[in-house]
Amino acid sequence: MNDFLEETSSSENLMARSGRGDTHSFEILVRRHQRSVLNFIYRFTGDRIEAEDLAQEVFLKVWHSAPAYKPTAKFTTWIYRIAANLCINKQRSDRIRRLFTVPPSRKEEEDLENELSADHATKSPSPEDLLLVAERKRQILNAIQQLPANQRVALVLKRYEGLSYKEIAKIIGCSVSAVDSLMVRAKRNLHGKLVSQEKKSQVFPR
Amino acid sequence: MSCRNIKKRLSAYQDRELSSDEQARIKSHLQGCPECSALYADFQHTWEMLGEVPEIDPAQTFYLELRKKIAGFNDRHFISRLRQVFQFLPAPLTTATLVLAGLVIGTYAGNFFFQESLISHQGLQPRFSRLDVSLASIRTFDPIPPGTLAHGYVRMASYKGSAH
Repeated sequence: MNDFLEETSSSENLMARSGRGDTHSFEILVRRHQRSVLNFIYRFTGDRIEAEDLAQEVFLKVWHSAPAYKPTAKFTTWIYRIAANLCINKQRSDRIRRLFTVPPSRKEEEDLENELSADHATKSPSPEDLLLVAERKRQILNAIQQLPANQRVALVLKRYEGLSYKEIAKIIGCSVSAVDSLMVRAKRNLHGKLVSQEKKSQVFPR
Repeated sequence: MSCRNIKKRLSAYQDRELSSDEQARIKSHLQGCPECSALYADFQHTWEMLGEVPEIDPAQTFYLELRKKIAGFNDRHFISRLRQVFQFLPAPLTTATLVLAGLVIGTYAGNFFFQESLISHQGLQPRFSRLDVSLASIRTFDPIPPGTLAHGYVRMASYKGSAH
């Protein structure tokens, strides 16, 4: 019965209980939101392993912020804000690190292809189709990675998490009209990048 | 509404973020404007393509790994808190505190071990009580040990005194 109550409790209530050191409530909270947080970060970074690490970092912050948490906004808005800030900070530090290191090897790209094609391995009839599907997904993820951080956050939150412009504005910390123009630029940029990639590899079917 | 304004609102139209009136106005514009409808088709196509990026599942051990990180963070946090205490003290004060603590601990430890060694050397028939041993251990702490510069200075001073 207690478990049922916990499962049906709002995230804000679970958060309040987590703040009092209730690890069971925290576990339910993590299990409830881990998938959406992980996928948001995965679509932002394009790297599964990095996404897992950052998602854990998000929940680590949630745990440490729990005692002082005040439910002034929706819990999902709050947690996406933490995730977005972590992603943007990570991107900045990676950019600085890249200035002093060698470029990524071909192996990393192959890993991504393998990862992307893994879920279609049983459905795809031929290796050529499998490669095409993997290549197409890789191109889409690459195109998303090339967008400026704010445009990427807005786009991913809208397309994959289905949030409204108002909610996205709260997460990014800007006005609704600013989100509107971010989305216009993101869609135009993304279309431009996908078309240019098509010209390079001829796998974009338009 | 001009094409320029329509293009600005096209993304919000696609995402159903406009009022029903505005949605209807843009919809009727798109039916008669090939340029705007081409841009809208591009948006739609890009949106559909984004749907092809697969959703990933969290690892089975996600929560367990997280608990480990929380436990590890708490351990590190204790050390960093300890560092924070000394962080606010100036370096000379920290050094003085540590030296003083070392002297006090060293004196007590030396005194204790000296007493213990004296008592254990008495064998089965003790000749000195614990009070005698304590007094002896205090007396061994000579403030001016022989052979030091201070000892030489004291000897010189006492020599001059006896010449008069």
